[in-house]
Amino acid sequence: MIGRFRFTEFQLLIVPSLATIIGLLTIYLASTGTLDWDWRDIWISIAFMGAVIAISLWFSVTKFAGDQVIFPLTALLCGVGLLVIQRLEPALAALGPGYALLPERQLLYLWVGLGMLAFVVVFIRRLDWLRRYKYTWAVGSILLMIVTMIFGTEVKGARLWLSVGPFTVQTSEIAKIGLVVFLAAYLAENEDLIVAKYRVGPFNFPPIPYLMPIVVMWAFSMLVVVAQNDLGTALLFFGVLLAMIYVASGRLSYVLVGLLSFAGAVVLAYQQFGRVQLRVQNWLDPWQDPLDTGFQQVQSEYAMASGGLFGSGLAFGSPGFIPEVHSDYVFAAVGEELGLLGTFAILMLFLILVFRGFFIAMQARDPFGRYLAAGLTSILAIQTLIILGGTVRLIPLTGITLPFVSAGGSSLLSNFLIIGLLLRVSDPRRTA
Amino acid sequence: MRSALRIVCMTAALAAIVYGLTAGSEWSDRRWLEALAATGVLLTIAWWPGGTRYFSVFNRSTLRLATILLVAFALISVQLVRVQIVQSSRTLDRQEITPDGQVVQNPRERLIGNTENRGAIYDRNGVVLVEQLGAGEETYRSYPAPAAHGLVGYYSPLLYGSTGLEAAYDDELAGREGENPVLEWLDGVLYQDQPGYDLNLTVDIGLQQLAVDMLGDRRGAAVLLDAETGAVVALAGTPTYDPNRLYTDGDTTEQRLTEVSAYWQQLVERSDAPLVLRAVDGLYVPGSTFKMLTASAVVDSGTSTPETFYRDEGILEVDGRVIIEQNRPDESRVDWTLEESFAYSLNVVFARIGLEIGADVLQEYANRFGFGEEPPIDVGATASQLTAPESRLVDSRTLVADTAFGQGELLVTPLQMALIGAAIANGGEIMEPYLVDSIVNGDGEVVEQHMPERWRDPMSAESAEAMQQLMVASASYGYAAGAQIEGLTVGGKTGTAEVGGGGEPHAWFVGYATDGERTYVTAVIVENGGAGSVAALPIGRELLAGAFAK
Repeated sequence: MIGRFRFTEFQLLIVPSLATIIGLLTIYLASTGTLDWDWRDIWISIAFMGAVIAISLWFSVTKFAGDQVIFPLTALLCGVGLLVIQRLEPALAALGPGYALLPERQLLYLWVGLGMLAFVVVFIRRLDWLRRYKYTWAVGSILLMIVTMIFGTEVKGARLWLSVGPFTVQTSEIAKIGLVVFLAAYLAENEDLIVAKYRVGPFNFPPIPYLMPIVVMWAFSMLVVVAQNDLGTALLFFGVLLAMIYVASGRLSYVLVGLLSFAGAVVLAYQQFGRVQLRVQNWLDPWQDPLDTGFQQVQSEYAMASGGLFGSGLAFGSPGFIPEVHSDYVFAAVGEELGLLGTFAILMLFLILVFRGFFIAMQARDPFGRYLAAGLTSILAIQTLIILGGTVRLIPLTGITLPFVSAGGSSLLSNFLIIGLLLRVSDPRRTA
Repeated sequence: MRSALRIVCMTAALAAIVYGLTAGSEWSDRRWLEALAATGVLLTIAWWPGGTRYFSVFNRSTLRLATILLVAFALISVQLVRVQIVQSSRTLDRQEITPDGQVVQNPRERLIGNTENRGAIYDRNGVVLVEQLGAGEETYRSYPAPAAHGLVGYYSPLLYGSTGLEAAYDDELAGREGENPVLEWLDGVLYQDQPGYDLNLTVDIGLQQLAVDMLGDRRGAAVLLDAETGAVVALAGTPTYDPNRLYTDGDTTEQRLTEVSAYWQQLVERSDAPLVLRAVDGLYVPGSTFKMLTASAVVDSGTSTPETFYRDEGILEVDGRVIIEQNRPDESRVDWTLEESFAYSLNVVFARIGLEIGADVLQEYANRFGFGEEPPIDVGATASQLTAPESRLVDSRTLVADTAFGQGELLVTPLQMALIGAAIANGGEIMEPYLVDSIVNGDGEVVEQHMPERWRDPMSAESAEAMQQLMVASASYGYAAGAQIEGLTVGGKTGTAEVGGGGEPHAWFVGYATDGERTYVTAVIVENGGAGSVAALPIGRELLAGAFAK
């Protein structure tokens, strides 16, 4: 029993525990301006960390021997997100009834997400059922998105949400995992063929017939995403596809062809769609229209600039001035209150998570596990880069959540599922 | 070989980042992004994983993918340094007024709690220009000296931000600019209000009032400064606005807010732009006053002396454009020295000079005198332009000729013209212009004392002396002869700038006066005022005389 105790993980969990509990205490004391407090005032952080530690202990009890680093990393990122949401609560509550009890809801999502993660890690011993039904996942993902496109709920000009009873689900968050599972399974099956070349006379050709299913699946999903007016997700799907084809084939030429076609698509989209031009304009100079289309970006810029090196301190800034700060611009809120040190810390956490994910992929013994881990890690990495690059105005902004940190149920659950699958792949005693 | 390439790429990437970050506002966002993209490529080469020959395809490509993602994370980090540290104060100070009168500003400015302790502003003799009065929730900011309106700016954090000195010295006036950053931070955390610092200006409110009175109900601006130190004695403009009626703070009542916004709307809708601080931000065609710069260029580049002769036959054709001379006092004479040409403001001669020295020399001297750059005055100022941003002097000989005598696409601020005058009067050196002489804390201790600093030295002392000869000639027998003041050596240049559109020309005067110990420079513009010698010169003369009377 002692030998199986996940001591590294347990030690690493000290950081998120202290950060979430002391952070919440800071927020509470700063907002009340007194030194009186009670354990009940910080129950949300305690409830969250309690669940995290309980799951870590359960991993030990069930003798789970997988990676011990990514779970604490995830907990810390989620903890920061939970802090930011609690800190933003007063500002958000003023926006309307839809924003009520946001921290409590986030806690609920976190619990459900943690439960799902634990379930995947502890009860799903084998992953080959994922591999076997690959076309089911692919077709299912695309159908789900088409259904959303037709019957979905429209929020801010984009139809990305599907109402299921009392819940609304962002279906692209489920589809992204479905498509990676399909790609991983397909690539694992046709590994050798994809690396092979066709010779026609003096020319080498890529094995086009074997790439076709990938391209078709991907084209379908892209089409749906573009029709949904969800450029961030389109960029994510595209990036993940390129990443997976590259790790499977090792051919930079595939990536180049992909990038060229992407460049072409961008130029075409720029000429065709006014909203794409608007995004490019707001990227290069949001000050051209600082009160309307550039408003959010300009406000985010003010927030980041006011943070400086150390930030204003949790609850001492005013990130509430940024519209959508809890979802698209959560990083700007971190920048204002925790400063450059805070934003660097978040970047480092994501970087370690991504490198750990690739490490798991390289350690995996079966091809499906390898591709699955690499694909899931690519999702996390590329999604992070798309939203952070947009927030700091390195690339045009496309609305997408910052994994684990942004408020939101669907993205939180799907990202927990990703971590669960990564942990599953990392188990050395897993039988394919 | 491989490692040498890595070192070269890494060094180049670091150099690009450091250079781009230190270039600050000189680099546009676009240029910075391009540099960052190039840095990304360099970093990818520098960090490309080596020694992977015996790795499996999967492991090798995964490592490479991880490297590319690492580069992307590194670029975001660099961008964060730029956004949060390097560009931080520039972003926070950024405030714009849209054409329909809405103000874009950092909304955090609105969160000022208590303005009870905000500092006061005094003129150089201790006369109150701005002070905070009242107590508790009944505080208000008083601007008792109408002549200082515009220059001191307004303070309206709840609605329209702030401008002028109120904006430029906001931290000091609010008492935030502490000597000790740790104590400052502690004050913020403990919600302790520090008394604001007071500003002592170099401005003499009497002379400022004189300038405003003489401009009367005409639109215009006047600058008076000490050429040896850069201290600004007067910086006036008309029309202006009443900052008393724009003040708001956290305790402002609803009714007051309505009044303030009604007044604001009125100001925004007026066609004579009362919100613009004309002396530093107004852009005008300089007309003949620009000949100071053309003459400085031809003298300092060694092409001519004041005694060099030029031909003026009353007409000059340049690539199809005909320049007709209207300024010769004697139309039968065709040969004129440079000194006479300057005194009589002969356009044909200056067009010839422009073509003689050429576009490059003219451009170089414009840059030397500070064109294209914002003069470093503490209230901030707009850069003057030699040509429109999209055109280049070298492309057009007619543009060179027109520019040389002060028309073309030139747009200058009154401050810039005063600084050209200052270079001539001060032996070829331009001192940094400044308005705040000292900053005093709540206990009456001087926290900061301005020390005069040189901004640039566009020409040699000998050239400046030759230019003084031209200016004095202009003010003794030329068109600026009305500027003479008894007991002082006076030099000057008038200008009557064509504005197009059928309006009356702008009237200009730039001049200096010295008693051997002190030297003052002035620049005056009266918009659509007619002849410079009639409309602008008397104001400049009175300001110069007034400066010595004090």
